Amino acid sequence: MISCEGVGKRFSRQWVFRRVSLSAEVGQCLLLTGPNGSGKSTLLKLLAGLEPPSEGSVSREFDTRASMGYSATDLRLYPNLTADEHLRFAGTMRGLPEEASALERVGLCDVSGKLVGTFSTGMRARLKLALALLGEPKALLLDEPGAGLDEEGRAILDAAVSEQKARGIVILATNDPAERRFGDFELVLGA
Amino acid sequence: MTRILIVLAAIVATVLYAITPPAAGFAKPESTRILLFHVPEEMLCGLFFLWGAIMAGRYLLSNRNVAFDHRSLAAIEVGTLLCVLATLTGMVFAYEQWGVAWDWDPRQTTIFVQLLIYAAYFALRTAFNAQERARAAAAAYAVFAFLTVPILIWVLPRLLPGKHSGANQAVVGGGLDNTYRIYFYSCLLIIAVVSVWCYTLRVRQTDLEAQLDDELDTSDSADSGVVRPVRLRDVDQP
Amino acid sequence: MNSSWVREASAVLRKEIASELRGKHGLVTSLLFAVMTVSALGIAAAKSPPTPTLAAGMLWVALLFAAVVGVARTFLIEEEQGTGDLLRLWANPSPVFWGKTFYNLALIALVAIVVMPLFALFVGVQVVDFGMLFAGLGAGCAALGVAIGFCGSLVSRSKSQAALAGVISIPVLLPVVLLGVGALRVAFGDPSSLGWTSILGLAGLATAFAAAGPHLYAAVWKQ
Repeated sequence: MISCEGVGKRFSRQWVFRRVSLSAEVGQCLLLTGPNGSGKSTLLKLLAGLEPPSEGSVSREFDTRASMGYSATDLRLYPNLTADEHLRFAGTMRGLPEEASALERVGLCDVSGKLVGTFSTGMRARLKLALALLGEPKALLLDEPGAGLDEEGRAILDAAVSEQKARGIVILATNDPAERRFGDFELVLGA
Repeated sequence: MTRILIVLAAIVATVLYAITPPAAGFAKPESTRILLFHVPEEMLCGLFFLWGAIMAGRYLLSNRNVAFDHRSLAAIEVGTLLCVLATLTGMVFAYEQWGVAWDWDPRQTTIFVQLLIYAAYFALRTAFNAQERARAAAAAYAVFAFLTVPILIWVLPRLLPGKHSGANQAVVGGGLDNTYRIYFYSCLLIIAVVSVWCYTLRVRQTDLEAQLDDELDTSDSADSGVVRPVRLRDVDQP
Repeated sequence: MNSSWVREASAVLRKEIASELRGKHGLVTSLLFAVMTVSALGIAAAKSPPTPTLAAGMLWVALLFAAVVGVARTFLIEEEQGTGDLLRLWANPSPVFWGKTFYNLALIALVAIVVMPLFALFVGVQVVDFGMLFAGLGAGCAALGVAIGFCGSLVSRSKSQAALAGVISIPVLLPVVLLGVGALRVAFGDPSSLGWTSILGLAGLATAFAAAGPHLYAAVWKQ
């Protein structure tokens, strides 16, 4: 389970959002929606443990490093490392066993030895998805996951989210109508 | 009441300054009276920096309790003020005794380095958009930078040749007669009391500012309730 | 220090080396910066060899600025290229700090190895005590490597990171320079200074920085 109670985040004196409470259980998909600037990505970062909340608390029943997959549009990859090296680095740092099929799953086998700096936006989005799915995470947190993906990429994403829902938690920060069909719950920010 | 005491302390310090006899063993004995201010300021600024580092460490260990950050900031501000005063009074004294205001004497060098370190601390505090980040970075820097202070105060002045040793000997090494010592320690006590008073005032001010901020925040959004997820109707249907 | 810590710290070190060898920005910039500084010092001191104290001071200033340019970058670049979140997602702070610090120490050692002979040649100093020279440079560069890296990590998410890294690390490192000058001037032939005491001071400072650095880095890791 992942939950938060009365969380808020502010930068300088400006609150992005306040008093948000939620909880997501295994088998559920939660959608975070709202207009631009309402704090969807920031809330997802708080849930992922990338930012501390300015008020309230976040709790998770798992280790974020080993058991949580996260991908976001503003998450950058190392331009001077290859796709393969990214997977190895992530695996070592997160203490996960090597997965030979990780790149195959997202259709990046042919470019595994290429530097990520030469990748297109869609290829990067696929690699970030592969990295988030490493080690069959207990929770998958995705921010605008469909951005930059082509049709094949979206099909891969759909399959990954469906699989993840069967075994864990999914939280999607999105305004894409196509991704609403996964949602069991919706939290609207900035309403 | 506190104000009356502070005014009294200032009067006593001024009287002490006026009646302190010239100290023997200096090039210009009558100008040594400035040591009554210079030396206590130098001693106290080190103690305030130490307190600032301790409070910064507690802030980092206490799950970000801002009260410790306010104490750390106030201590470093008062410490820096004392450090500036010690440098200026030191320059006046150096001009009188050595004929030059600035000589890169080891103690002048090390106090100047301390000033640079704490100037950098204030620059660091203003360099972030997010307040929490600024507080954490400044606290970590306050602890890290303090690691150099023992080297600056005790090691370097003894390693490098300088002009301070004679004067130092006279003040702290027992070269002063008993009467002079009474004047010196009285002045140290007065400056310490005034500095601690400034520190507590600044802490109260920053605490109140934070409290006011919180109250304004609460009143801003008093009408908005808790944001919770809702079950989506379309997935409710089997 | 368990095996997973060693594996993780080595992975960070390997990542730094691979990124550097492919990008070459940090290494080349630092080396060139150091060479330019030494050349400028050589031109400034042309035909009038400086005293041992002045020479020691000049060398430490060259090393300090070359280190600020190159070493702080190792931490700054994570936020500059936007990969900081990736590290915070996957890693523990301690192996990241040490993986990057080992890389920084190698970088600064390389800069010192290139700069020292050039400095001796261009500025015209005689080394009379090689043991003192190597011990002084070793302990001083270790303190520079740890402290500048740590200061870089503190300012990596600030508004003007590169300039601020210099502003906050240089004052902390002035005691290192003062002690370093005390050691190197003996190495350059000034018998009056307490060389080994200075080296002891340098080693003490480097140890204090290395002991406190990773804990403080961990305390601000997810801010």
